Amino acid sequence: MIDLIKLLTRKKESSKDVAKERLKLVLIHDRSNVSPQFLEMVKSEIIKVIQNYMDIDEDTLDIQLTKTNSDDGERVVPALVANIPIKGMKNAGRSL
Amino acid sequence: MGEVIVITSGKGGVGKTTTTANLGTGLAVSGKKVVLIDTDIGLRNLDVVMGLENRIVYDIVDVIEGTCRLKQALIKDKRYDGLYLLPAAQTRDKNAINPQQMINLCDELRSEFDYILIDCPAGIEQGFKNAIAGADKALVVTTPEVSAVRDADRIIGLLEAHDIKNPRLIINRIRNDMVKRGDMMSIEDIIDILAISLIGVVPDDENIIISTNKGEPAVTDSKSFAGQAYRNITRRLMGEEVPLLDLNVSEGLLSKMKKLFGFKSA
Amino acid sequence: MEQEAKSVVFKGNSDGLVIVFPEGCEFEQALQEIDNKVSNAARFFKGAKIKVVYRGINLTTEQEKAVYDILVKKSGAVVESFSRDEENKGAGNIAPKPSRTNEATRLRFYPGIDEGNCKFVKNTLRSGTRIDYDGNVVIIGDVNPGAEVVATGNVVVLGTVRGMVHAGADGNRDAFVFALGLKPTQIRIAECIARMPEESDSDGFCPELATVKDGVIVVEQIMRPTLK
Repeated sequence: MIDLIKLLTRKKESSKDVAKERLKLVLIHDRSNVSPQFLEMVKSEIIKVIQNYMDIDEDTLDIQLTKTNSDDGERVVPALVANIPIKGMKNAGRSL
Repeated sequence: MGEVIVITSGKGGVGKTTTTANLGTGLAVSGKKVVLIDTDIGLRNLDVVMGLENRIVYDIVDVIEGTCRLKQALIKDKRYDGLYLLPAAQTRDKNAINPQQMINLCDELRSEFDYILIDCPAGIEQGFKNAIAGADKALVVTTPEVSAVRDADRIIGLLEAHDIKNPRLIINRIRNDMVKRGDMMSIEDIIDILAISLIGVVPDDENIIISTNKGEPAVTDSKSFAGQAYRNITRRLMGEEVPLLDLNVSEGLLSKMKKLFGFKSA
Repeated sequence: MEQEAKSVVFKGNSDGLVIVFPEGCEFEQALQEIDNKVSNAARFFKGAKIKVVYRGINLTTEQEKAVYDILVKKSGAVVESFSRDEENKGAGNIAPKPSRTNEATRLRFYPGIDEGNCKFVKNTLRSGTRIDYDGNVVIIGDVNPGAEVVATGNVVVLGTVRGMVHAGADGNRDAFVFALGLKPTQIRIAECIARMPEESDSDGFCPELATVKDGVIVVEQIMRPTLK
């Protein structure tokens, strides 16, 4: 009897899996939201790397953690969005 | 030197106070000298769970403000020697004490007691900061619900930021039948998410409500399933290796028994 | 007479103030000095609760009363008590202090226990509320668990007490607590503390009066004879 019920309900995702999935997403956001310092750290590291190759406008540079639709369009996933205005390329970049 | 352990959760209503009362009583039954500190100023409850509410004369704010000596405010348990309660004030607010005062208080108690258990208020504001200030270790209580697990995650982050390393997890009110059906996150699911070490799992048990009604912690009730879980956690706190309570077997046995005697399963 | 060297000295201690009367000082002049000092420091004392003790010469009951009156009127503080410092009797060759007279005891407490200031509270007191009053308190409503009523006079509750009440909070054992239903977590009169028996015998709603007899709180049921 119980097996029969299980068979019938198996196709549907069990509610605990839904819970777990949602929790994971929420926590990614929570954990990064915890400290503005975290984003500052990411920002300064990114600037360091990019500056090796191009001149960028550090003052208007903007990095945010947001949500976006996943590739299949069915779920919302967290995303790191960076808006980095480029002033010019560096020689090191061109020579490649 | 005594050990100061804070019992915290972030979310309210997951069983911090019940856990504090049961672990404290469990340690006292094992012959340890224990003091329980209720830091939920304005919403105290540890006194009623312990059944000591009508013995309160002085409270933690009186001690900190110097209205009385620490010894005068400690309430001796009704049944177990070596078990004491330092109640919270009910008619004050959390700002009546500050973290430094809590550190001093804990240090004063350390020389007298083996274990100092601090019942933390819900939330992450002043009361939480007071509660964790003097603690060496932390136990994080959660239930298998998204809200409780999310808050536990936040609390773990805050504990680590305050230099309380390696908090240990208590999963409270787990229902094996629901886990089996896939309608409740399992122990593994929760640990997978929170990534901290587990010190124990407490099954959902109506005996807890009954024992709270009476003001006698379930840990002393040999028939209570949750009481058994708390006894195991107590032993793990004292450094013993105790296997996890097998929720499965007991559940099965119980329902088999019920079937045998023709009872309807609730 | 050189009085300059013999002025009254004020000292602070953990409970409040110590006034030291130098040997051989004139009481009237000492009184004047206390008046000056207290008046000047009135802002400092304002609202504080202090216990005052004195050392040095012995004062008569009348003199004690005079100093007490000045302290109360000029300091703006709540003077909880005024008495001779018992621990420092040994200082100087002072005769043992006679036991406190009724008069002296009386002036240490809130004087309006039979007739005096009264606060009326016209609602039920819920957990976390605290009434703190220098006088008598009448509550029209219940006192729930977790609520506290602290009065220097009597407490009358026209409802059921399930929380904590403290009558005669400044130490007066003549204070009483009356309630239509008395099931408090704790009841205090002066420095006496009692709690209800673990299993309460009656669920009935019967007016009860709590007083202190021989240092113990005694609760008696008040029933009209016709109702019995």
